[in-house]
Amino acid sequence: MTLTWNRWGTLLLVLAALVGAHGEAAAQHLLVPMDRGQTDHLRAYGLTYAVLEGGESAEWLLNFRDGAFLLPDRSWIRREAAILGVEVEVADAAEVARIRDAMARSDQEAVLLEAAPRIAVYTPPNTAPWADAVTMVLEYAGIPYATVWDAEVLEGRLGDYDWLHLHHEDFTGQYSKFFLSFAATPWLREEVARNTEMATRFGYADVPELKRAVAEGIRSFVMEGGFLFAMCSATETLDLALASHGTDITASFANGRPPDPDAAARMDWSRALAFQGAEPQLSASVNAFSDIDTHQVNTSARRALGSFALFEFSARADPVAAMLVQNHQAVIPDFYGLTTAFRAERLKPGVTILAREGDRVKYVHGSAGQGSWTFYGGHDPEDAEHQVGDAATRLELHPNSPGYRLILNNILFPAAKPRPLKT
Amino acid sequence: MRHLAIVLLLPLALLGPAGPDPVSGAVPGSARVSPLGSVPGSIPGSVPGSMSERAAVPAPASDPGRIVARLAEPETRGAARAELLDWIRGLAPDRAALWLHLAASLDRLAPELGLEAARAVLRADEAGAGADAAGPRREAGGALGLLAMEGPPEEEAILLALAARILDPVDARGALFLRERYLALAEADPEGAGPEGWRGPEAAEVVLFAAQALLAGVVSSWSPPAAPPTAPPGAPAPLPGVAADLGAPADAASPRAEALRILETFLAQDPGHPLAPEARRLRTEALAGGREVPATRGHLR
Repeated sequence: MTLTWNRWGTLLLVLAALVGAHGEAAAQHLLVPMDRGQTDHLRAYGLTYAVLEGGESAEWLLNFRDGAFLLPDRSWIRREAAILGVEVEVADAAEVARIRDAMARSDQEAVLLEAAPRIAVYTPPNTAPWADAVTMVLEYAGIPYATVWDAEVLEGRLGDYDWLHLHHEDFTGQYSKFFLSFAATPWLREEVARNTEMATRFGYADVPELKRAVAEGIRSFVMEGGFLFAMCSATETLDLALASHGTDITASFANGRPPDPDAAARMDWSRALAFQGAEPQLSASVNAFSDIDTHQVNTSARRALGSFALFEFSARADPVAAMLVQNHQAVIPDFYGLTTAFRAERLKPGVTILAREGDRVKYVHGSAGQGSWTFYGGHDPEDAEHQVGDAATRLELHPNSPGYRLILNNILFPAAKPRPLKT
Repeated sequence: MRHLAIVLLLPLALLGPAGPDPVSGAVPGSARVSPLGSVPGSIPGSVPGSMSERAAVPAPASDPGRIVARLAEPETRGAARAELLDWIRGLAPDRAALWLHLAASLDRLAPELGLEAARAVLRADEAGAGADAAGPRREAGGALGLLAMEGPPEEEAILLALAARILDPVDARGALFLRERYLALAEADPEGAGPEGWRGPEAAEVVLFAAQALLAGVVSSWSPPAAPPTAPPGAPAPLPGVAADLGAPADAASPRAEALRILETFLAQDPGHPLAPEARRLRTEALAGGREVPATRGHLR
């Protein structure tokens, strides 16, 4: 039989396709190292998220090369990695087997990542993404998110999301006590007007009541299986709002009444997620919320910054905590926020401490109902003393930021399916 | 400010990681970013300017017109290039950028085209960058652009990029037109312009300046062919990175989409290029819809 050109052409095309397919399959995986060899740790999370969003699965190799990712080898993923500037290594089947073997012989574990989490950020309308560390790093890493605020929470729409981040909100309804320094500024007046309007719209007497209801909505989100991540003042004030449902801890500028002098005794810490036994700061002239925060940055009791150390966790025995602390740097310079870190004795029993410096706990995790929460003190991991009006941090200058990396560990956490422990 | 940053960065990338050594005249070059792709190593390795030749070169001329005139004569051409590099070292960065671009181009151009390019740069330099410069610069850049289009393909890339640089301060549309032509020809026939093709050292700056212009809303009269898909089948449909509620994704035919496309093509081809970080920054800006990042309302008093 004589092959015509058409048949030869077809045969060549088929062969080329087979070779191409084989080339893609033979390499099998792309390893995203997360140790110091990674060029852009933050966008590596964005790449992994994009893989999940593209309908592929990935593996998170806990405690292996500081939390490497194993991705399927696809041409579009290679291209995306190149565009993002993320270092990837081609790992053929033999290399993957060698990695798995090495992991099996040490305290390392592969966690399957399946679906891209649906992410929401609780933030007031018109807030720029660069006002908040989480939105900044989401934008930098290329991870999409939606924004929600009081209306969405009160209307029960948090169920549309897997993961909720709280912008640095003051859930006690005292506008972070910015009245002390910024009473005349347009942005604070706008904030007051916006919150007052929202309280009226939903039938609350004042903003502290509105915010307490919102805090309850967020608590319900967690209890029903959501993942909550809060930073800075949102950590402390969320629990203060939840615990103060039977009393009044807010200054008179917020609701027109003086606070309850016995508020501390009337706090109901059973409603709170992380803290207990705290003393609310009832003075309107002291710019602090309670004694939960260790650094009291805007008061005369301000403490100096140090460095906090991440704890190591067994990837097999405690994969959840291990996921949250994957990092290429174990000791990280501290950074201020209105809530910088938490007093250890104010934490509830059962809370997992992920990072601390002495009695100052920086990073904690816990479960509530069907869901879980993580609190991370401080405002901006790469701007230790961020002031009002300072320029936004440019994350392209900090692609390997270990402090920002902790935020992104939380983003992928809801995508993980930890294997059941062998008993 | 960003424009200035690129103006300062690009000549460095064209010349290599470091400037000429003030003592030896040697330029620690990098084959990776050297404009002299076929001659690895330092620029003086190909531009006569080494210690031995410098001994025969008269004291550096301070008159760029005289240097350009000396480029016309075969017997003085090599020395004139060395003089040019010496002279550039004394210039302020914004003025030096165009001359550096010329210096990085001369070795790859036929002598007569190199001379035309040098004359065009001289006219642009003499005109400055102020309001009165528009006419002479348009004339010089336009003529060089036409020369590029009429010339051999090996030199078109070099001349288009240089002509666009001449137009930059006075004619953003014209400069974008030349760069869009460059990019379209490069995509249509990547190997069509000789060994370095359209991926010569000026390729990165063409992409960055074109993207910057597109993001700034500059519209040229260039009619690009239908854009190829940004990713092969199998990739997730929308480009990741656009916040769900931060504006509509770029329309496929919009300048923003075109900026994204050329930046991503560049990054996919050469992710480790020294200017890749700037390309990524521009890409982030494009994804965010060109928002400027102002000061924040932070947390501390």
